[in-house]
Amino acid sequence: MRGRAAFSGLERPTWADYLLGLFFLLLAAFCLFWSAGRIGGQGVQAEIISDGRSLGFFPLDVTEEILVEQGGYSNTLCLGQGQVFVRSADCPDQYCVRHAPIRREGESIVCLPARLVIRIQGGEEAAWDAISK
Amino acid sequence: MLSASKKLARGGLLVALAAIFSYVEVLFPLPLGIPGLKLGLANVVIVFALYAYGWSTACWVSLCRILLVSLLFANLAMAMYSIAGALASLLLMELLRRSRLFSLWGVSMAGGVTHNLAQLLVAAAVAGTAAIWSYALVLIPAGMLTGLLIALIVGRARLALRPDASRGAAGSKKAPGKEASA
Repeated sequence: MRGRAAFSGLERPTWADYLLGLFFLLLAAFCLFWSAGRIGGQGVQAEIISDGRSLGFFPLDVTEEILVEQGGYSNTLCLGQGQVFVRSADCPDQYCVRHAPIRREGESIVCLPARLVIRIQGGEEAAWDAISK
Repeated sequence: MLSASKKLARGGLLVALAAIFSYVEVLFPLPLGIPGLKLGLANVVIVFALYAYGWSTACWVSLCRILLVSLLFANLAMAMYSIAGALASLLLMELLRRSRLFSLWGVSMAGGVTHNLAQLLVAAAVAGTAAIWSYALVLIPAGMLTGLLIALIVGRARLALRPDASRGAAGSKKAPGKEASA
C-alpha cells in the first residue's frame, strides 16, 4: 500500500506520545467548554448611563422597553434581539433616535440634551481587530 | 569533531533552507480563513537540526531564520511573536527528547502545539484581552496536526540522509528531493 510506504522505516510512536496527544486533545476540549460557558453565560448587555450615573446593565436577549427621564427630557429605549436603539425621544436634535441600532462591544448611542449614554458590553468584537484598539 | 568553519557553513545552509521554506509560505498562504494559521514548513528544518545536530544548532538556526524572515517579509512585531513561539517550542522539544520517553512524533507534536500557544500568550499580553483564548481551541489541534506532519517529513529526511542510504536502504527511494539537499 502506498499510504503505508510513507511510514515504513520510521520509528513507531511510544505510549508517551499517545498520552501527550490525549492530553492536548483534553486541553482543547477544556478550552471549548470554557469559552462556550463564558459566551453563553455572560451574554450581551447594554449599560445605560444617565447624567454620569450608571443605571445598570440590561440583558439584550429579552425584549424590553425602558423609559429614561432626566433633566426634563425622556428617551424610550428599545432592547431585544441582541441590540438596542432609541425608539423615541423629546430632545430637540433627535440624533439618538436616528442612530442605527447598536449590538457590538464598545458601540454607543449618546443623547447630549438628555445626558444619556447607552453602551454595549460583552457583545462580539467590532470589525477592527484587538490590536488596533 | 567538526571544525568551526564546517559548523558555520552547515548552520548557514540550514538557515537558508529555513528562510526559503518561510518564503514559500509567505507566497502561498493556506486559505483556511483563520489568520495566523500556517503549516510552519520552516520548522521542518528546525526539528531536523534538533535531531541531527543538537539543541544549540537548532536554537541558532531558528533565531537567525526569524530575524532574517521578519526583516525581509514582515515587521519586528511579528519577530516578537515568532521568537516567543520558537524558543518555547524548542525548549519543550529538547526536554521531551532528553526524557527519552517520546519518539519524534510526540516531540514534534508538542513543538507544534507549544509554538502556537506561546504566540497566543504573547498576543494576549499585547492585546490585554482574554477573549482570544477561545482561539486556543483551534490552535491546539492545528499545532498537533502540523507537528505530526513535520515529524513525518523529518523522519523521512533522516532516513534518506543516513550514511548507508545511498546503498538503497529501505525508505530512501521515496524521500523527497528537497530534504535530501539539507
